[in-house]
Amino acid sequence: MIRTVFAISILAAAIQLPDTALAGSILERAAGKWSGTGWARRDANAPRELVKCRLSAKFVKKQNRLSVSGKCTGGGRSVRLSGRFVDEGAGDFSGKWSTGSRLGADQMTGRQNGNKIRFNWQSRNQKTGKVTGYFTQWNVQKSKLSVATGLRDNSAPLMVEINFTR
Amino acid sequence: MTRFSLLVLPARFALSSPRIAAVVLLLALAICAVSLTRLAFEDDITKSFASGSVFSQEYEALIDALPSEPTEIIVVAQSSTPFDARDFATLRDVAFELELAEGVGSVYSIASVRFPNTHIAYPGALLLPVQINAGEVGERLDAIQLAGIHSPVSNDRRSTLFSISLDAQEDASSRSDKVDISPVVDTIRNIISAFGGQQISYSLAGESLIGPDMIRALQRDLIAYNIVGGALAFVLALLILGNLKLVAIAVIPAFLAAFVSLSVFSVLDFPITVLNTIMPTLVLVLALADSVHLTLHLRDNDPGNALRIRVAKSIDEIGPACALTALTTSIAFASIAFSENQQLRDMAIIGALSVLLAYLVVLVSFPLLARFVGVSQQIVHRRKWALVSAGMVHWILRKTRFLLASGFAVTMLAIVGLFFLHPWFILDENLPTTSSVRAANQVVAHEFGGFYRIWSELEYSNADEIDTQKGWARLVDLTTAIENAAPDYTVLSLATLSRWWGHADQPPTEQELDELPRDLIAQLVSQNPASARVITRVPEAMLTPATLKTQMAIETAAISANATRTVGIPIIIRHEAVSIIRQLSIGLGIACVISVIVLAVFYQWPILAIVLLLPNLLPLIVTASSLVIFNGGQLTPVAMLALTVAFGIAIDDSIHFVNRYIVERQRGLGSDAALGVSIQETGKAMIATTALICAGMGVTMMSSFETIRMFGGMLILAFIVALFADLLLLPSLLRMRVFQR
Repeated sequence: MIRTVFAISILAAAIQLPDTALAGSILERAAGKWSGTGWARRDANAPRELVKCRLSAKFVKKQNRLSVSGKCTGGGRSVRLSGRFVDEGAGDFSGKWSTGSRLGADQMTGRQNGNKIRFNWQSRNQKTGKVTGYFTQWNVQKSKLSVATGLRDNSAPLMVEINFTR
Repeated sequence: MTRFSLLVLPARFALSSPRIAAVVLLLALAICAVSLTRLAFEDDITKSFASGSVFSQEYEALIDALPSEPTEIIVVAQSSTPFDARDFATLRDVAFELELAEGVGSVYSIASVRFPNTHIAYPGALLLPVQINAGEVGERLDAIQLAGIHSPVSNDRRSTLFSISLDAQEDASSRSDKVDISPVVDTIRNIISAFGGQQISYSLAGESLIGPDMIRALQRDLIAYNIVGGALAFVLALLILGNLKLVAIAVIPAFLAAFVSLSVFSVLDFPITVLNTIMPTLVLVLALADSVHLTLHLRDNDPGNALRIRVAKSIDEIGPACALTALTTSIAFASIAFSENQQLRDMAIIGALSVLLAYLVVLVSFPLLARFVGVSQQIVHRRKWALVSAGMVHWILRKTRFLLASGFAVTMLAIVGLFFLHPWFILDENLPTTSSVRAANQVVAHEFGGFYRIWSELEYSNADEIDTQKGWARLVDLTTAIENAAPDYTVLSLATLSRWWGHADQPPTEQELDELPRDLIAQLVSQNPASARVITRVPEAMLTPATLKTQMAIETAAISANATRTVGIPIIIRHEAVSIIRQLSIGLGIACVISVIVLAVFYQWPILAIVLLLPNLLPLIVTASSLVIFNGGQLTPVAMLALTVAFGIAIDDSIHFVNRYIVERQRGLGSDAALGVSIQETGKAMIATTALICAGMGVTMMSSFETIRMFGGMLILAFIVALFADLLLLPSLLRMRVFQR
C-alpha cells in the first residue's frame, strides 16, 4: 500500500502548478528535472520516515500530455516511477502511473482550484481486498511545490509530504 | 641425416639460405605485430578457478536461472573515531544519493535497516530515526544486535557498508554478453568522492570490482616486466659477453621470441591473466639462455676458422641441446593441461607453443644475426669466464661420495617439509597488494562477515508446495541449520523474512514480498523449477582456517537439512583449488617422467632417465618445502604452476651438461675427463644463464601481485638449487659405475 501512496504522491508532485498570473498550460510548465525531499509513513499510524526523489518530466504539446519518470527512495525502499498526465481542459486532469512493471495499475483524476490541485484515487489492499480512497494535494508557491497525501475521509494524519525544487 | 641434425634444421636452412630465411622471419614478425592489436585482458575473476566441474556447472546454472545476474558493489565507509550523530546523518545522505543513482537497483545500508514488526521497543522502525541523536542511534544499534539482526555497522561503530545491487541490465543481447558496469561504478565513485575527505573515508569493494582492478595492475605489470626485463637482459648479456656485437647476437633473438610469445595470445584469442602475464618475460629469459649458450660457444670456438664454419659448429654442438630444452620445457607446460581449469589449459597451450616458437626464432635469427653483425677474430677471447676453475672441477670429481650423501640428506630433509604443505587458495591474492578494492574487501570480510554468497537450495515438486506446512517447515529447518552452523554470518531466506515480519510459521504474503527488491526475491525463490534458497553471506572460503571450517560446516549443515545443493563462488574456490592443485601435481609427475624418457630415448641411453631424475627433482622438492617457511605451508595453484615451470626450465642445464658430456665422450675422452670439460665449459654457461634467468625473473619482484612475486621467487630458488644440483650432483651421479655410459 505504501508503494501506491508513495508513487502517486510523487508523480502528482511532478506537475508544477502555475501562479494564477502565469500563462501557458500547467503541464507544459511542469516539464524539466526535479529534486524533492520530505517524509512518508508506511501506514496511517506509522512514524514519519525521510524520502528523497528525482524526477524528469517531458511535455508533449500536441496531446497536452506530460510524461514523468524518476525514482524515489526512503525507508530502505526505492521506487522507480513512470506516468502520464493529460490536461482534459476546464481544470480537469486524468493520469496513469506505474512502478516497475505494474504499468497502469492505478488511475487518478484531478481538479484544479487556484494554486492548489487535488487528485483523487483509490487502491485495493491485495491481502484483504479492501478499497481505500486517497487524495493528493499540491500547494504551489512561486519557486517550490509542496505535496501532501492522505486518506480521503481524513480519518488519519497525512501520509506523505514532499517539497520539490528544480 | 642424423637425429641431431634434424633438430637444427631451421638453423642450417638460415645459414645456407639467409635471404629466404630472413624474409620468412620478417613476414612472421609482421603477422605477429598486426595480431597484437587484438590483445585482450581477462577481467572475469571466476575464470581464475572455475572449470567444468559440477560446482562450476551448478553455479552457472543458478546464475542462468535468475532473471538477471546479481551484480553487487560494496561501499565501505570508515572513520578513525566511532560515528557520531553528524556522521550518521551524512551516511544516510550517502545512502539516499546511492539509491537515487542511475543504474542502482537497491541499497542495503544503515539507512535501510529496520526493526522487526514484532520488536517491543521499536516495532517496524528504521534504525535511523528522522531526527538523529547519537545516543538514541547507539541504543537502537544495541537493540538491533540483541534482536539477532546483522547490522551494516561494525561493532566498534567506526565502519559501515552500503551493499549496492545494480539494476538488471537489459541491453546485453544475451546472458553470455559481458555487461559494462563501469558507468554505474563511475557514478558511485563520484558520489562517494563528493562525500569523502572529511571525517569519513569511502572505498569500493565487491566481486564485480576485482576484475577491473586486476586489469589495470596487469597492464602496468606487463609494461614493467618487458621494459625492466629487457634492460636487465641487455646489461647482463653485456657483462657476460663483453661485446656489443655479441650482445646483439644474443639479445635480439630473445626479444623477438618474447614478441612472438606475446602475439600467441592474440593469435589464439586468449586473454592475458594474472597467471599467464609473465609468459613473455619467461620466454625472453629462456630464449636468452639458449642464445647465450650459442653465443658463448661461437665466441670461444675455433677463432681461426671462417665465421660461417664457426656458426655452423655452434649450431651443431649447442643447437640439439637447445631443441631438447625447448621440448622438455614445452612438455612441462603441456602437462599443465591436465588441469580442468580453462585458464590453466590456455596457459598450457600458450606456454608450450611459445617455447617451441621461441626455439625456432632463436635458431633462425642466431645464424642470420651472427653473419649480419659479423663476429671478427678481433672481438673474440676478450673476456674469459673463469667462474668454474680447474681446482673446482678437481674438487667436484674428488668429492663424489660426499656430494651424493649431501644431496641425499638435503632431499630427505626437503621431503619431510612436504608433509607440512596443504592446498590453499585466496582469491584476493589475484588483486594487487596496493589495491584499494582488496583493502576494502578485507574490511568487509573482517567486520561484516564477507560479501560472497552461498546459495543452499531446496527443491519442491511444485511451486505451491512451499506454502504447505510441510514444505515451509523444510525451508525453516534448512535456514535454522545454516544459522546454527554459521552464527556470525548473515543468513537470508523467506524464512528469515517471515520471522522479521512476525509470522515465522508462515511464508511471506505477496504484498510483503512486493515491498522487497525483485532481484532479491528471485534469488530466494524460483517458480520453475520450484525451489527455495537460503543465502549465506560469507568471506572467502580460505581467508583463514576458521573461515574454511565454518564454510565446510555450512555445506554439511545444508546437505544434512536436505538441501539439494550448495552453490556459490566460495564453494567453487574451496573445491576447485584442491582439485587444480591435484591435477597440476599429476601433470608435473607426468612431465617429469616423459621428459627424462624423451632425453633417454634421444641420447639412446636408458639409464639416463634415472640419472636425470634426482638432480631435477631436488630443486622441486626444496622449493616446494620452502613454502613451509615462506608461505605458512600453503600450497597454492600458482605455487604448483611455478614448480611445473621450474622443472621445465631447470632440466635445461642438465640437458646442456649431458649433451656436452656425450659430445666429449664421442670425441674419445674418458668419463672423468669428459665430466671435467663439461663442468668447466658448460658450467660457465650454466652459471651465466642461471644468473640471466634469475635476474629476468627478478622483475616479478616489482609486481603488485603477490602471487606473481611468489611465482618468480619460487622459480629463482628452483633455478639456483638446480644449478648446484647440475654442477655438483649430476657429475657425481655420472661418475657412479652403474650410470656410466
